[in-house]
Amino acid sequence: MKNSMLLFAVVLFFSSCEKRNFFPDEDDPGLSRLTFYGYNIATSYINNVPYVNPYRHSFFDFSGNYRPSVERLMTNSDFDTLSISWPIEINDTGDVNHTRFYSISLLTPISKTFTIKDFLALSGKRLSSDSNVVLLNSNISGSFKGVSNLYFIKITNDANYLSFSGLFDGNVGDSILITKGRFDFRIDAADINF
Amino acid sequence: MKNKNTFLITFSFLLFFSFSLSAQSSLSVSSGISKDLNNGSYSFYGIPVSVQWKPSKKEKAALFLEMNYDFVFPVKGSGNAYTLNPAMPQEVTLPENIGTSLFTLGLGFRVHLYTNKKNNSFYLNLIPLGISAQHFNVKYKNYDDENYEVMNPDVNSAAGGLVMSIAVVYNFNKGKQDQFVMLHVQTPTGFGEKNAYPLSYKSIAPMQLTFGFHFYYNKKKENNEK
Repeated sequence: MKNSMLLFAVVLFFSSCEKRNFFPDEDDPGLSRLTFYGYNIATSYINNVPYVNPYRHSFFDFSGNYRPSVERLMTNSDFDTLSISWPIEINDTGDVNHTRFYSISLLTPISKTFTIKDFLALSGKRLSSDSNVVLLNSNISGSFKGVSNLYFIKITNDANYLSFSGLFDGNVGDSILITKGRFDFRIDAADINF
Repeated sequence: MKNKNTFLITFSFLLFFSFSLSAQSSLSVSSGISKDLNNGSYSFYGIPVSVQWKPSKKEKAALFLEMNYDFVFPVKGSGNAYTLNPAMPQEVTLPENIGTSLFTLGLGFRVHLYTNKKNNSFYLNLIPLGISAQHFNVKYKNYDDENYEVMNPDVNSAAGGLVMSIAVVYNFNKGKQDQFVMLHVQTPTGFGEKNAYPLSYKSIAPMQLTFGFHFYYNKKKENNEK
């Protein structure tokens, strides 16, 4: 009986594990390749330091790459805000002196009637820095707000899962440069609030 | 380059021992054309060179060592690349070149099928144990990697492992030019990577049609093989 319970626990653990799905980009050391495979991986350089969304280890719960939070933020202005946020960590344990950022948010204005259909319509759209905002949160120095470019290369809705891949970059004045950003996400459509 | 050096070293080794062994051993060399059976979207064609060493006196059920190198012609594909730079087209299609080579070393045995009155014969070569190595090189033409990113890119890779093969051999002009024609098919290998990244190509399973010659050393006069 005990052996059966242990075997069941092991099977349950491995069945809920997702792979890291980090495949090194040979042209950009420390970053993962630009993909559209639902890998839930996002990487970028912040001041030439590679950052990646962390991998969550859990024995009793889901294990895998941290997924983004995609939500519509209500505002008092004429537009609401589409927020795509995810936690980040340095993809180089040898770098201990760099200011560590722990999350990034890409914000873009959307209409008050924004729905999933409107989100899908962003597929293939390149959004310039005229209106997009990037937020970086740091352990030591608080939050930084700047401008960003965002390109939704491909967005699809498949069996109630939203898959979206794209590129991003940005800057906070001249002090923080975000370059070569790319993401490949697949989330449950039920987890978004529009 | 590494496969070519291995081929030359092993061939020289076999050639040396083929001279030093006693009678009846043979060295069979052939070349022709090959076609890959494992890649649907890409047709890898090549020129195979096969060297087979049979040290045994026997003609039937004889063991042999076979070495095979396939000079594969590169194939063309394409990839889509994207950029954030507003001064450049947001999407471009890049030509892709996939080059590869194939080296196989196998141990097998012959099965006699048929010999006619003219002493022309059919044999089945079975190689249940072989080791194969394949290397793929991918290059995107005109790729501006500073501004563009290829989505789902193909990358260089290596495949290797155990393979099996089978060949039908037709021997003719025996006792004169000692020629043969061989149709040879080999199983593919795996890429053997954990958490494998999907590629647009697969490892090669070549089908080879070759023509060649048997070289005997101190061969005895032929009796009827039946």
